[in-house]
Amino acid sequence: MSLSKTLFLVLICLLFSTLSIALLSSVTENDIHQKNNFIRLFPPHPFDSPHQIDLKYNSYYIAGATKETIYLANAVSSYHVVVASNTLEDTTHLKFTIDSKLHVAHGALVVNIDSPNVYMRESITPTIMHGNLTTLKMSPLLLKNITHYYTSIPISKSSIILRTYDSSLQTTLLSKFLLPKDKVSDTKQILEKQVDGLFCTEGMLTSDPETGRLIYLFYYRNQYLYLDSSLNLISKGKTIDTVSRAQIKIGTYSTATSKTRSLASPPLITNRKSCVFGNHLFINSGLMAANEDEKIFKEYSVIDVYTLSDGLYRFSFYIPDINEKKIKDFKIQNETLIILQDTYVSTYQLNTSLFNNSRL
Amino acid sequence: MKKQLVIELICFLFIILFAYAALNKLMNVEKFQVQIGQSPLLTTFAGWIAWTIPILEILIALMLAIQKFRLIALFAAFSLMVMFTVYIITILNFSEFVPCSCGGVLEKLGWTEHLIFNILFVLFGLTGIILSSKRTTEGNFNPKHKDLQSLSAWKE
Repeated sequence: MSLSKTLFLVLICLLFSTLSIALLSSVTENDIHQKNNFIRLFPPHPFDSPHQIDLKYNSYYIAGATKETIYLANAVSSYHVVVASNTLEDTTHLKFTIDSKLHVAHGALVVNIDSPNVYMRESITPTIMHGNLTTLKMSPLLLKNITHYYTSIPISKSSIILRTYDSSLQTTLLSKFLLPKDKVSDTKQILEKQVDGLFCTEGMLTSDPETGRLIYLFYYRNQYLYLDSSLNLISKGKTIDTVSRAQIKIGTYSTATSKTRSLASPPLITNRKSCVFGNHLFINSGLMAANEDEKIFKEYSVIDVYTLSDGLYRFSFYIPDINEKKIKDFKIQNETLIILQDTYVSTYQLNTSLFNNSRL
Repeated sequence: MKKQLVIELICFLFIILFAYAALNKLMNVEKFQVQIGQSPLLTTFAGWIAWTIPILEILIALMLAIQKFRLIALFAAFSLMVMFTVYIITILNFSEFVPCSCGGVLEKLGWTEHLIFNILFVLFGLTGIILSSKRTTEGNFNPKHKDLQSLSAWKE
């Protein structure tokens, strides 16, 4: 064989090898980020070893966080808040007070702390109270025009987002309520009905404290809505699992006075919890991907990371379960990931290079 | 002949490398599959690659040991090493993140050392190809078309 022929063959081999790798990786890239193929990516070393403390009770939830401080409220003892540093080294307790004559469903109060503002609200009477971290005194806002709502989330000192059900339209609505004016400013019918309009649209509202923008994450389908603070749709995003239709069964039964609607089978939960920080959306998913190990999936909770600007999936990381308990609540503030599991609170310092990557 | 010795040495190195790498992968295919599955570049093909790569490596190692197939085997070894090298370059420069692992002893190598190691073997392969194809032209029994025939058979 002549030298030129040999070199020609070598060149062909080079081209063939390079192209085959390019082809494989571009197909994979397309699979991971675009196509509805349920695959997760796990970059190594997403964080260092966590700080952890035992709170002794499993009724805590995350009320808020700042760069250095974490606020944990308690579902059983509504006026009691634990304040911890990022590293969980020192903890202090806060005790909030209200006017004792006030008619409030104490047990249903949900606390939100957006330092220095404190909000407590419950949907039974309903009541919304405002206070701050210095006086620790909560005072109710006069709200005559809120009659009923399911969930709410304060987005600023003057406004709150409510999720309500309209029985004539048989659908769930989102409204922005202006607190000082005691009136609804915007109402949007953007939660698309799939089964019954009530259960099938259930989901979680999260806000980005920096921009005031909102995420509505559906519990039973692979979708989230990215909204601005006036509830206008910025974009619709898809989570990586393949459940595009809510898989729930609705049953109705009559009692003496009324008709009651209820879930008739355990629902398939696609998205359990979420939080937003900056351009990233973090979702604790309930479903296992095709390339995951079943044993690992049982012993860990998985958090998927998406970028909001382009709606693309980026990567995932695992959080080890404690006492076989999955993540109950989590939040990300700057580079700190705060996790609640069982009676424990943990903080992880996220590896920022994963987020600063130019491709993210 | 000195040239012959170099060819033998290169083939020997490749046989050791491929046999070792293949056995290492085959001894725990599931682990290898999981590792490939973690690669942001190949995860879709993890199941498929986990079997074909070690089988190819063994096949090439065997062919290198047989004089008749040596040239084709050298081309194949060269191509495979180029693929590995391109993969490493891609993962270091264009991937979203760099996964952790390779097999066996090579696990101890960092990605850059690994890249140098691979480029070295690509060069070995190239040297082997050039030396042995020259030798076959000088040889008196090897008709040209035979090489091409078997090469195209391999490519299919």
